[in-house]
Amino acid sequence: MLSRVRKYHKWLMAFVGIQFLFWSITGVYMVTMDIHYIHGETLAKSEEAKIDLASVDYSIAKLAADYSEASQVTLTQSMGDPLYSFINGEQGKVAIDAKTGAVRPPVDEVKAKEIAQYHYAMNHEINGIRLIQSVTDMPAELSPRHLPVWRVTFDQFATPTFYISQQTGALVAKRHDYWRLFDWMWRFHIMDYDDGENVSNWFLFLVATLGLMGAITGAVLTYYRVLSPNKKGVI
Amino acid sequence: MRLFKLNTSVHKWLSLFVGLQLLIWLGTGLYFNLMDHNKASGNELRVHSHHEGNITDFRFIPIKDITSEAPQEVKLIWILHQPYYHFVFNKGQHSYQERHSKLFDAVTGKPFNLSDEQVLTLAKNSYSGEGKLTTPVLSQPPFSDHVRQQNPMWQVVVEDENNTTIYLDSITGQVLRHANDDFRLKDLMMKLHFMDYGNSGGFNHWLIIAFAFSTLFLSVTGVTWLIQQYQNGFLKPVWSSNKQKVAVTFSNENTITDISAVGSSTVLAGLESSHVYLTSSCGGGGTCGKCMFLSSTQLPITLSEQEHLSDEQLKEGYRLGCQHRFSEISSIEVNTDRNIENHELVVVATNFITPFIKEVKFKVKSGKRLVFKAGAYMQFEVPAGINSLRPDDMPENYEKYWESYSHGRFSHDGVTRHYSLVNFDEESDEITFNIRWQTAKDGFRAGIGSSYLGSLQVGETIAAKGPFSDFYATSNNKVRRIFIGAGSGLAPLRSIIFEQLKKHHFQGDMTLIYGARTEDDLLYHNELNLLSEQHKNFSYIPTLSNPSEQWEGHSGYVQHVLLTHLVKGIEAFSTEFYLCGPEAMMNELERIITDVGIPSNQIFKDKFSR
Repeated sequence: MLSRVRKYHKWLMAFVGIQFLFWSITGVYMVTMDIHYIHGETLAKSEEAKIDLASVDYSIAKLAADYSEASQVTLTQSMGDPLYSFINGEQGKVAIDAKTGAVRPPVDEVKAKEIAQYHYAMNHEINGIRLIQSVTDMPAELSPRHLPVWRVTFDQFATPTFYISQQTGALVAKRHDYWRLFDWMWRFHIMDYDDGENVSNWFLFLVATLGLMGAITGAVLTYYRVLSPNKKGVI
Repeated sequence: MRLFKLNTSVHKWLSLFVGLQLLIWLGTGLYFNLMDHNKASGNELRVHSHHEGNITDFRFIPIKDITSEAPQEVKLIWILHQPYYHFVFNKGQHSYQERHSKLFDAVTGKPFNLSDEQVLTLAKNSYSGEGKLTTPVLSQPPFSDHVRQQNPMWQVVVEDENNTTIYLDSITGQVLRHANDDFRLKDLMMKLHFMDYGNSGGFNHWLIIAFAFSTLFLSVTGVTWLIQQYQNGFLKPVWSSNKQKVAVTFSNENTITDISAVGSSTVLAGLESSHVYLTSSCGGGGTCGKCMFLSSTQLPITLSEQEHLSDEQLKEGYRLGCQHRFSEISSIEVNTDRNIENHELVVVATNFITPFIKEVKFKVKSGKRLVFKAGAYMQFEVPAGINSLRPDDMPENYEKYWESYSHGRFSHDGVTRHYSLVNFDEESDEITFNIRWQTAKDGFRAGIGSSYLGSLQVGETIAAKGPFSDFYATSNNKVRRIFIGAGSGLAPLRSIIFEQLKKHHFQGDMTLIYGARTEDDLLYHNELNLLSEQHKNFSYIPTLSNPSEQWEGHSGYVQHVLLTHLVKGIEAFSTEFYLCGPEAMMNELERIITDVGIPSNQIFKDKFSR
């Protein structure tokens, strides 16, 4: 009996063994790398500054009068200056100065660099910046809802990258190579080499099923080799 | 370096350590692959309702007029179509992290707290099912339905089949989660997959890290093992099921049996298929080093053998049964107790072919066809009982030979008896034995085995073990063979001669010198005559000690006939002798043969009475 189990174990693993290696390598990476670090939370300083409400002279009532279709109105801040950001009907995202009510001009390259440096927790030079306006131009690591954005990269080996909304100046996404590697690890882990989003793929089903059978036959072997009280003559 | 052993034993012990969790990972992984994502999200009955009002319908109080500490952020939110300012004083990167915030009425500017009724309405608006919602309860973390949540939440239990609970933000009343049994199942699977047995809510903890590294080593050692298997040729798919025959010597008993098995199977598995079990506790993984055998030919040495066998053993030709294919070996020696199969044999025909010898034909009841080398014997289990002293079904023409033997019956104990097979394995699906009646003298000492076997009727059964071979033709094909037998000692010789001529198409010279008392006592006389006419290389020389007057052949004992043959001269080093008959006869023959210079390893004797 045992020799047949061993034969099944060998042949099953000959087919899916390499994926076990991938699962364990990617698993080790994903569990050892702190998920908050992967998310880039250490790349940006945490925003603790409070809004000086006294300087907010432009009231919500005025905003309602000036922009009657405004929704998702938020009073936030950019580099210490209070500003309102909201969706203005079909115009989309709008940011206005909360002191004066003036529409803030779209963030330009100089401003984008300034904002990026303001949030960046470490001390590296910016070595790349470009404006991304369309989905076709956009790297897969960003969600299209943030467009248009400035992509700012810092001169460090993990290629820290900040995405800064062109309209609001908000830091909308933080990426570095550890995140990008994590993304690939995830794809290999769920065996979706396409876009890495579909856990319900048939390839994973096939390999996981064969793998489960392989693991069960392995467990039988382990049981008889290690735990069985009568080890002799088990075949 | 004993790397192979290290690798495989690390693999084994790691599998013990991580095995259960590995099964859990695979099982839960398969669950994630197959689950209904919509159900598992818990949102099957969740709907989104709009609470926004028209921004122009309200007279908003300026945010700067609100009496409050300074916020990080203020959001204008809508609850049941009424506007509120949501002051956030501090918050983490994730919504589940601790957050301090407060709600103010955006018209009056007064602090605002949600009432139970409002929360209930919000919960109701998010739920499309039939279940009845109970009174909201403002609860503190931890939550079993949301392990990571560090903030209080409103909890609304719904009385439905799926045990839904609706969770809402304690300040804003935002619906955060619909937890139901589908969701909880997925949550449990997640917990198992992340080994989150300490309810950390994540997968960056020491337990899973330890297991992940162990599993990595398990995989690496496994893949290494596979590579070694590949290098040793054990990962080549073989579809052919060609059988191969191998002579197996059982050194414990000094017997030899032919065993045939699929050539592509391992020696271990091949022997197992013939119910010969080499010791093995790993079942053929090359890890226990127990399934040793001695090969007559030089076989390559695998990594596993290097580590489990000593240099001396390897030099002598010892190898492991799991490391070589059946097709690689031709004859081997094993140090194991043979577990030759027991068969139940059914009598299919009986026939007196001489006055005292009955030919009994059997078939194996299971329908199995036995494989054996010609010259083999079987061991019969004769049960205790009462037998006749002489046969009841004797043909009339043989009566005269039995006149001096008395009738009657006798009782006996159970015994085992050995009989040689008369035929060779591919001759027919029957197995044939010649049973010589050991006649009783004065009513005593009748042959127990022969009287029992000789009395079996067609359809009756008997248990037998075997076949066992320790008397068989060598594989030498450039040799002369002289067979000498007497009486029922012809059986194994007939079997070998027929096997050589019919199955192996042996081209060398073969001579059978066969002694009997009278013409009537000659076994298979016509058949052997015919065979010698068909095959020029076979000569049949019967000799009778008590011939009738019509007998034209030799008379006297086989020893005399042999001597006349030897006088003609033989090639001492290329002649083999196969003897079967009474002990005294064989001893005399052996003396004569060795006297003319035949080496003793060219003389093969089958003991007539085992």
